[in-house]
Amino acid sequence: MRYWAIVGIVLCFFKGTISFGQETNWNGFTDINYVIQDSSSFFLGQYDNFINTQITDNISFLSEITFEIEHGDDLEVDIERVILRYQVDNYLNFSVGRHHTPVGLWNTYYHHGVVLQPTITRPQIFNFTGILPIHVLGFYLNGDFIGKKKLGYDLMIGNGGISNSIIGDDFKGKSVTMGAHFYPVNRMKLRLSCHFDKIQEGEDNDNGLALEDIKQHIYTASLDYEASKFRLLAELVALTNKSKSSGKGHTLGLYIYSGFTVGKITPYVRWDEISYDANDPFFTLEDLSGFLGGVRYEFSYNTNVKLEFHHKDFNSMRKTNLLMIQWGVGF
Amino acid sequence: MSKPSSDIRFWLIIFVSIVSVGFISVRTQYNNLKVIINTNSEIESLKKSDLKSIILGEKPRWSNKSLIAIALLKTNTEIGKSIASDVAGMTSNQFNKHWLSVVFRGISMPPKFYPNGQGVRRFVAENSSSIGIVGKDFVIGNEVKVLMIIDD
Repeated sequence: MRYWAIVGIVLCFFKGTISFGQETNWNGFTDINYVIQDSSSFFLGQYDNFINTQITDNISFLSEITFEIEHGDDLEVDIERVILRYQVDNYLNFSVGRHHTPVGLWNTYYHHGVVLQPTITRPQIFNFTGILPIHVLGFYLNGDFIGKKKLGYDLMIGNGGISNSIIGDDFKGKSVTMGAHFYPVNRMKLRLSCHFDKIQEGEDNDNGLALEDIKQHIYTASLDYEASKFRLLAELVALTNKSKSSGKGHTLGLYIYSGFTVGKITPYVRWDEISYDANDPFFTLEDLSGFLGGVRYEFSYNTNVKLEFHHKDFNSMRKTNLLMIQWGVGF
Repeated sequence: MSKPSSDIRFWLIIFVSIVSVGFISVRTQYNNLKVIINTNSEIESLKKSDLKSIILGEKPRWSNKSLIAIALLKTNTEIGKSIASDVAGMTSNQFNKHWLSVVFRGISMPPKFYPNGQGVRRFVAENSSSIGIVGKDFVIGNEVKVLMIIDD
């Protein structure tokens, strides 16, 4: 971890001299937040270092390393993405490394550069500590913008389990992710994807504990309509955990985002819903219904301020409200 | 004055039709933009939709599979604004944000942005598989050639 931190810092400071003739692009993203709930507080978001370099005409390299202050002021350095890609032609790419799992749309559009994200927070179903596999280390085959309908496809085979391990796993099987998308009409993108994995007995995280081997199947359906002033983004996720002795548990999650832009100002709303099965063999989570309303002001393409009000209802038993302000920047 | 014979009228109609079709297909250049390409390139023309795909990073390679390098004027210049609106169908802000997103998603390397046409011309002249867009009145010299843009 320290090694990568040093590499990241060195690349940041010497970005102008690392290319030696090859094409290298360096970007960074960060954000500063203020939250009002029971008490109010400022906090720093992630500091994201993003490097994209064209090594040869066909081979490119991408790395994304984030610095984040965790509880207790501990600095955490994460290798979010490290990808080596061979691009055969316009419609065929082979990649290896740690990728954003091509499940749904949000997870491939937005991650750590929150200035690109339409809201301050991610939808509940795509939360970093949520129920979906956000990253996968493995082999990735994809293509995009094929034909007039701009067809795209993804196939990913990677390490399995909920740990998203970057130092390897001892699983017999690997996770498999597949997806396809196209534009049925101009500006409207439809996407279907699925992810098959196995949670091994004894694995656990904040969402649950596997008392035995569990087969996990995830299906997503997504719609993105983006006109010059209006945006509608909606995604539905159906997840099944299945074990031999405890049976099946079905989870259904969705979000709908909509925003309307007037000049530099975009008022927006988002509705989140997740419903868990009480008999799920892995998840031990409460149903969640959430609503947020906010407004985004764009100073320019690479910096904006968002103000959001969040309301969350956990299983109709516990309710929370909070107000967030975020200033995000990309450079 | 005698009327033209039916044969003459027939060939006249054919001639006018051909000229009209040719005129329509050729006269689709952008009003204030000129698309330039390296003189060593064998490409002479490009469909409007293909140019848009290239400028948006959706089509990173030529048909011979060589990687396309893009050179544009900065979007805070008048010509740069025209490139964003006329070619990409976006505002300058949307165009810049689009490219930030494309780069972040690892789809493609970003274009080179120059403050003037000389920078674009020099880049295109030095990179054999590149494409650039300059103002219509910009004098390109003989280091690069103008690409014909045709309707789909």
